[in-house]
Amino acid sequence: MTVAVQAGDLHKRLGSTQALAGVSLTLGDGITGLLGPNGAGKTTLLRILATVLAPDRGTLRLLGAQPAERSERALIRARLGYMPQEPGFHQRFTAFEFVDYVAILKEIGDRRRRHDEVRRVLDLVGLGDDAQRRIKALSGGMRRRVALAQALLGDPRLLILDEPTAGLDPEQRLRFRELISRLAEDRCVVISTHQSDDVSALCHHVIVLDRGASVFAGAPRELCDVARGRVWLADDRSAGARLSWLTGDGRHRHLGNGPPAGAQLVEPTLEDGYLLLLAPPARAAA
Amino acid sequence: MSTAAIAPLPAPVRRAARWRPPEHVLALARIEGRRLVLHPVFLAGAVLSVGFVIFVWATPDDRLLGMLVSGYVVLPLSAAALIAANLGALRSRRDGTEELYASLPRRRSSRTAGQLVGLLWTLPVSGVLLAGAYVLASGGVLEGPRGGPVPFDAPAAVELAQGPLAVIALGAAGIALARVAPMAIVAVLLVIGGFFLEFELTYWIVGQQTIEGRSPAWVHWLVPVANDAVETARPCPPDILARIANPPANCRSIDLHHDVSGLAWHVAWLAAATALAAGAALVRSLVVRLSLVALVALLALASALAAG
Repeated sequence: MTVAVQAGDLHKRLGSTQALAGVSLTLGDGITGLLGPNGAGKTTLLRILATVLAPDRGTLRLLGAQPAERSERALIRARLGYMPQEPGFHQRFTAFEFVDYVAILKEIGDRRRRHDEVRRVLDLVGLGDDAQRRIKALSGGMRRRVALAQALLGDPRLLILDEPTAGLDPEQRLRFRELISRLAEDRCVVISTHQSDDVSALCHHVIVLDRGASVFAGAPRELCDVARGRVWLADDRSAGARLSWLTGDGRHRHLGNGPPAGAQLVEPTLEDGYLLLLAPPARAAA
Repeated sequence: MSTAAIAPLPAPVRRAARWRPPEHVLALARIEGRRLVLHPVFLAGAVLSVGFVIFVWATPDDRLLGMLVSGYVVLPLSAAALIAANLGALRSRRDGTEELYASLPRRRSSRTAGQLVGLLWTLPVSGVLLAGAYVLASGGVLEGPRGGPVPFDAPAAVELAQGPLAVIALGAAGIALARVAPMAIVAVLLVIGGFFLEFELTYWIVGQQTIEGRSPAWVHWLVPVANDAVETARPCPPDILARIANPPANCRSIDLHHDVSGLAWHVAWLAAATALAAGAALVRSLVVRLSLVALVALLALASALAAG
């Protein structure tokens, strides 16, 4: 595995909040999914990996270089693509103009080469025909694709995407998965998301953050295994379940440590594992 | 699972010794310059300046012609450049793109440099405006409503430079202002305040009668364009009389000159203020930035005091 990100004991305080409290990770080629509740520190971690924020403490190497060093940081940034959670757009720019503006700041060649590159990434995200439309005239999903397009400029070795599928319709999400899985064949992609099915479908590696700390790191299958033998269906709500809900077929799906005798155990999903990992032990059934 | 660290990044390439404008700054300047001159506020300023030119030309008061030949008519355009450049410099903050830009190799100073160089795109606009004003003032093509064309000497370089430089200077001030006080309303208030100072406050303080409709010298030093025309009325020269179909019996022309030496000092002060404003926009340190702004204010004060 080629190591693209190597972080040790990262700490970051934002105001009075300890956003990261000792996160360590090593990431190589392939897709890594970051899961966690709101405020878990996902976005802070991604901002640090994107060199937007500097950690208060800890070690960090990106693409074999140290972002703390100014000269190395510029070189890392040239080989890094970042899509923020709320990218922001210049509404009066066309999609082409906006991506071109980013391409200039990314120092992508002369004018002709840069424009070729802008057209390439807009085609990649399916916006080739809408390149000359103003951003304010684009839908929310199309704007997300503009944000993704700018992240792909220069064929980056490290791609950091903060909630890239938010606001995309099902078809767009499938296209996104297809594109990202293709790109991840020879680079490191880190995705933060609340969509556990995106993680199941795409990621080779999952990290679950909670209150600034990593509480799980492993393969998606291993996160499913957290819930193995702890998910069952029943006609009624079970008192011993930590979480339960009424499903569409009229039966109750339960998550917990003690399925009653004779309960119908079912195959756990990644979401089951995630919920059991983070559910407070004493929480009563909903 | 075996792991292999990625190959270290190559060492930074040392820049060539011979300086030339960085490609990315020129590319940004092309975008910023085009957006500036097509900005609705800038276009409104251009329309106001055209209106100002026509108003001055059509007003039967020859003393106002000094405004045409001094570049005074680009003042609305200069004010518009200040606001439009300020809005351009605040764009990333307003649109929430700062986080994205912070992840890119080129820093904020590159964008600011692009915006500053982009101010050069205003030159064709101010140039066309001034050329039109000269044509009207000279009467070479059009005859004014004063009963004849108005002769004046060929304009000095400082007269020509004053208007376009004022547009660039106020544009640079707008960009610097965005770094010091990142709120669009500040630029608007500054323009309103400048207008008030020039046209209203001085009348109120000094009294219109005593200054005969003109602001005192110290205010003239503070405004971007000085207009200290020296006017001499004289009988129409024969060559002009020959070009007019029915010359009035009392045909008189106004010979307008400017105090070129005084204008040169004003242009020098304008250029210095532009350079300091550009420096204040570019530097990263807040202390240095504020110091440069203070230096501009000090320079203005010293100039005003020297002018009496």
